[in-house]
Amino acid sequence: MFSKITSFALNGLDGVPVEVETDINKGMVAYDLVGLPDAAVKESRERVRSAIRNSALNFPVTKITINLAPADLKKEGSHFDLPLAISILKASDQLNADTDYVFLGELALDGALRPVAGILPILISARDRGFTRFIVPFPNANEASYIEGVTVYALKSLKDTVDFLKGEAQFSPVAPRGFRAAAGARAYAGDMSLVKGQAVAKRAIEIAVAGGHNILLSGPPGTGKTMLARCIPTIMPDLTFEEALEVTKILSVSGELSEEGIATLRPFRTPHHTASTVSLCGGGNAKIRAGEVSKAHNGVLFLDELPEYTRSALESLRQPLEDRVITITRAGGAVTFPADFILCAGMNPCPCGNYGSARLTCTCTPSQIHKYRSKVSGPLLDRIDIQVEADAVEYDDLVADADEESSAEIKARVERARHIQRERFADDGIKVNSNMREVHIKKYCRLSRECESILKDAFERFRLSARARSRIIKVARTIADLDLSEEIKPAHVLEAVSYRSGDFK
Amino acid sequence: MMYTEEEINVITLSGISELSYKTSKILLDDFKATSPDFEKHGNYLIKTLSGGVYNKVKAKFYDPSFRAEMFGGLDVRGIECVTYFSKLYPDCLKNIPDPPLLLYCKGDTRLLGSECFSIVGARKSTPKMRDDCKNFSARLSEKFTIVSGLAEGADAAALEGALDAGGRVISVLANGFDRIYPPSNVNLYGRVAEHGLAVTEYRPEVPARDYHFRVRNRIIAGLSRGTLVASAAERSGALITANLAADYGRDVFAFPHSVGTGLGAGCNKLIKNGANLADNILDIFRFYGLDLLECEKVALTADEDAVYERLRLTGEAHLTELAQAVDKQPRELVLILSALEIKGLVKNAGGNRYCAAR
Repeated sequence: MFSKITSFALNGLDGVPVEVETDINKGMVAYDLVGLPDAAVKESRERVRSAIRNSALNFPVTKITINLAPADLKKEGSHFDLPLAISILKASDQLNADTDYVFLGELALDGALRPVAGILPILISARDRGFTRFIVPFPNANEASYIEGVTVYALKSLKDTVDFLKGEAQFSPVAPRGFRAAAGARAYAGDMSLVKGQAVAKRAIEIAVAGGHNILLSGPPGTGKTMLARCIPTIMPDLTFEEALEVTKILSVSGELSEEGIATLRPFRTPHHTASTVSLCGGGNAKIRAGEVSKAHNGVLFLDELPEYTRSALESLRQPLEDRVITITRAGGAVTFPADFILCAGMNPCPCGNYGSARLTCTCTPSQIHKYRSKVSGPLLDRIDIQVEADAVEYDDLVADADEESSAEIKARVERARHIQRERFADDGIKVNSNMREVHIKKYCRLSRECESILKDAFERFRLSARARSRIIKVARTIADLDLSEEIKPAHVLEAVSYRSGDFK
Repeated sequence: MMYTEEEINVITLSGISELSYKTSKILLDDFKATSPDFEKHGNYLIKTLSGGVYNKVKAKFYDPSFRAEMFGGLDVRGIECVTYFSKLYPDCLKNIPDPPLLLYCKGDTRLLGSECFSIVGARKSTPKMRDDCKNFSARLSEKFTIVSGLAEGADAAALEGALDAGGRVISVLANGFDRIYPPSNVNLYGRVAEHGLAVTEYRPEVPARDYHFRVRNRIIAGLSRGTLVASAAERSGALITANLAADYGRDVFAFPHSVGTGLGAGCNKLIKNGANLADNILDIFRFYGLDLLECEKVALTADEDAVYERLRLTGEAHLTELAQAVDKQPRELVLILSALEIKGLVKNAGGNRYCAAR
């Protein structure tokens, strides 16, 4: 007897349909699973056998051949348990019913369905390919509820599934949920009003977020660089549903999705400085996994102690910073993950951290300082538009209860500036000022003669590079947008020029 | 390169690695003879060097192939030699107790005859110290050739300041030309050799050694009419230079530093001991009776002028302090400071602290 059941495999963030074909014939007792299954899929035999038996059904004692087609695609993950079980039941005549569903789910030995990773991206790809009916584990219901245009049944066990398919039990499909409800409940941990002082750094962060610029915060240890960085998501515009889906897809395939089933907060990723290049960019052999740059997609990637990261890890950031996606190529194929994030880097001014401090003496030798700073390469610094110093915090600042602006107020200004940019770049295929290329700069950043002369003087004075010039112009454009000014004024250029502390003196 | 007989003798003698400065000097009868007298000083040499080495040295000195190889090596590297007996050898160096036998030179050797002023200081420094050094050097280079070492910090700042201003510089090295130290300043060395002069007592292949620096400092002090110590800790090589300059009867100047500045303790000690205090470029120019037009006034707005004057009055100040002092919002002040920075009047001292640059 023969049966065919549909499931899906994941290739990066894309779902690929997989046909589970089972053939049951007379012969020596055997269970052959072919079609490039990985260890988790191979082991499914034991889970499937026990689950079937413990659901008061029969596991056929004869020759079973199962093929996962297409045969040349590697199949990964435990979500093939359910389609395998259904396929065997159907081939052994225990289930004569309509099985035109996409089955996804891991089985426990007692037949219960366990949650699996990657439901959301599979559902989205499957819907785009014309599949509309799905059976998924009950714990994945939340995640599935955000997809429109599909009918998803979230069931608790294999027994329920069989009964449902036979029509002996009724279950209602997962009710679609709006994103707004989930989004309404979002709240970030920090708030800008909790950061005392740091007027310069705060302003720089506001500009960075408004224009999507990368930012480098340097300053002595313990000045609150990390605290400032953690506040960045709080002033970013809310995630739109599309953005949230993008973020959720990546979290879902990485198995890092929370109970809610959808990401409502912008990601804030802080990989430790011992992180490997692969963990930052993504990679892996059998299954290519998303790295931190992709997990920070639509959010913030915070690299504290920038010079402590390995050189190769830092250099590998250059391409995603430029292209906003990362393509990981392995012998088995290439996968493209999105990687559109704001890079926020933190560093001390020197190894001991006191260089430039008014109160403490720096104990580093010039060559130590030089070595420390040269770990961050010029090309990487060139991609960080805003470089600013955080102040050493004085005791008085900490106890002062001067009214600091709240994140909400700053966010309102950022959203206004983003709105201006959206309208400006409507036809250009870019979103924010930092994405501007030379042609856009020419088109949208006309400089008056006065601005041009300031820029020229700054050039000669600070010996800036050509890249630094476009950096300054882009930042000036963002400052003008925050100012709701159509043209770039001298004050905007002057302020932009001041955010270049990384061009170390 | 064409050399006279006397020069060739000294260059050959200096090229023999077995001979120290002291033995070479004795061989030349304290510069009274222009050619080494191996017979007369034979006994002394055998006693200090051993007989074998003595014979080797003597053979080397008269060996034409040794000479050819050595001169060939100098020519290939583009090194010019100025010996004690050369016309270009400056008198001010002859007046010191241990004048170098020979200076290996790269660059414009005529600078040796110019009026020199040295600026020295510690390697460790703050951006403010380096800026002061640069500014003084730039202004002094209008009247003097600036002499310094090649170390990071004050030395490099002094050379850079003068070079940036189009002035003339001499850098005295503590190593041979093949072994530039510190390697991080190789580019600066290149600039010096191109637009000024780099000199050293050491054969090209000799690396820098600890004791070279002390010995080298006598050349810096000896070449210069005056020496300015920009920064120096309690114990510092710059103090050695200053003390030597004083011993040679040259003028010593020092920057004053505020109480508790570790990197300035040496300077303050010099001032206590009678060095001239230099907190203004005019202090040095007036000392030498030189006229200097007040620096041209750059056009400033009223706000810029207020901020600039404030900074000149108080020295370094933090952005927020300064904002309170001039009654501005930090955000407005950033623009003013940025404009002043572009005009070269103000420097960012790090950590959002600013200071007047002139």
